[in-house]
Amino acid sequence: MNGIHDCGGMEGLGRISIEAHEPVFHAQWERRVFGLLWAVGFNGFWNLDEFRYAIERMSAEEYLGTPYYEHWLHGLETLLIEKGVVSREALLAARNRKPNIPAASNAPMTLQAVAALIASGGSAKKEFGAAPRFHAGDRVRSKNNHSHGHTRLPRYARGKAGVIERDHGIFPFNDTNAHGKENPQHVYLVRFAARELWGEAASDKDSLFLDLWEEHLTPAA
Amino acid sequence: MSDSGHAHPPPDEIQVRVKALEDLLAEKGLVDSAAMDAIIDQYEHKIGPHIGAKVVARAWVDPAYKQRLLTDANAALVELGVPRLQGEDMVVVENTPAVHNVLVCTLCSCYPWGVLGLPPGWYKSPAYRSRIVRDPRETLKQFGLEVAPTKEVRVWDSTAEIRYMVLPVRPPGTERLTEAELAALVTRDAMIGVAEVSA
Repeated sequence: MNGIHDCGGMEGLGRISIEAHEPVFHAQWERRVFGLLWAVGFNGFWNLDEFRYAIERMSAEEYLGTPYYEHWLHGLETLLIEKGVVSREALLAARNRKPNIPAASNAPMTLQAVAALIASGGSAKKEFGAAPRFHAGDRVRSKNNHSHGHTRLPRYARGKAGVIERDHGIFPFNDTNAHGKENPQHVYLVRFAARELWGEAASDKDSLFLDLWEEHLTPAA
Repeated sequence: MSDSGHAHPPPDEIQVRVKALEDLLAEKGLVDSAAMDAIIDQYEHKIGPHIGAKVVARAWVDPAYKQRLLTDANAALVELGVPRLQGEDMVVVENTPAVHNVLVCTLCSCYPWGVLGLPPGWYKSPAYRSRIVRDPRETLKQFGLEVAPTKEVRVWDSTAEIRYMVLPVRPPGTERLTEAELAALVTRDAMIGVAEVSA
């Protein structure tokens, strides 16, 4: 979707503010939201792409006007309601009562699981799948697709000519995975000349590298 | 909760919202607060740019390791016990006298957690994400880095699940330093590509 999150190349988004000696978290609630995302993520109600798409659906005003971890909180609450894990009413009611309650005992992300999760993560990469359509050196053009759903093809790189640099292998297609279909396919590192994306004002020496899925690309002469 | 009708919400409103959510999920048995404490502690206190700095220092002193890092980063990072979460499929790109690399995620906040920990606020900000792809040289100047016009700038936008790290140039005059001393020079910003390493 053409949301505010897809901001590459936009202007008017303020100065870059660099905080000296920035703490990892700025408040206790940020810590808890970070922990919650992983704990609830462990339950498997949704995938990362659905989570990204939930954040992308924030209004531009809210997206720009709230701190980063509030985006995560928004994504969590949105998906918990959409997936039927909690009701909106229960969520609102919980805010109006006294904080309380020990955790129940059958928590999926256990203390023991955390070390393994951090050490190993979970690669999305697939070992097997269709043969690649493109190879290093192939000239390609990205599709000019303004999807209303989730997409990892940014606006600034649509309909542009580039060259395949490498084949990263087969991954679920994030654009469809956010909507319940894995549709695994090759992901390619694609190099675009800065001038192809930004015009003559860009340096003729510079380039941008994006990781794009096979369905984002068409062959170019 | 206040009902006094202030234009701004009370500062603890979000604390209440988060606590309510955590309590509700805990009641349902979906989350374990001790496990949450553990993962928070890891990323607040244990996992950070010092891990990436060790990798960089090793690459600087061991040419064979550097070669492995640049050709098969995943295997090379496993050798040094680097955590894999949000860095399962890594690519390391090398800065040279001719090429300067810089990282961004324009669409969200993808970042190589295993080597750098959680990203700084500016990396996640729309201000940085919008500018670095369009005007990398001007944007880098805001970080105090002026890239020579004769150099090539490569911007890496993490649009898929591959995560990147920049291998900075080893500064001159560091030939006598130990691997640990070299690691102490390497900054987070140099591994994102908004700075160089200086001795």
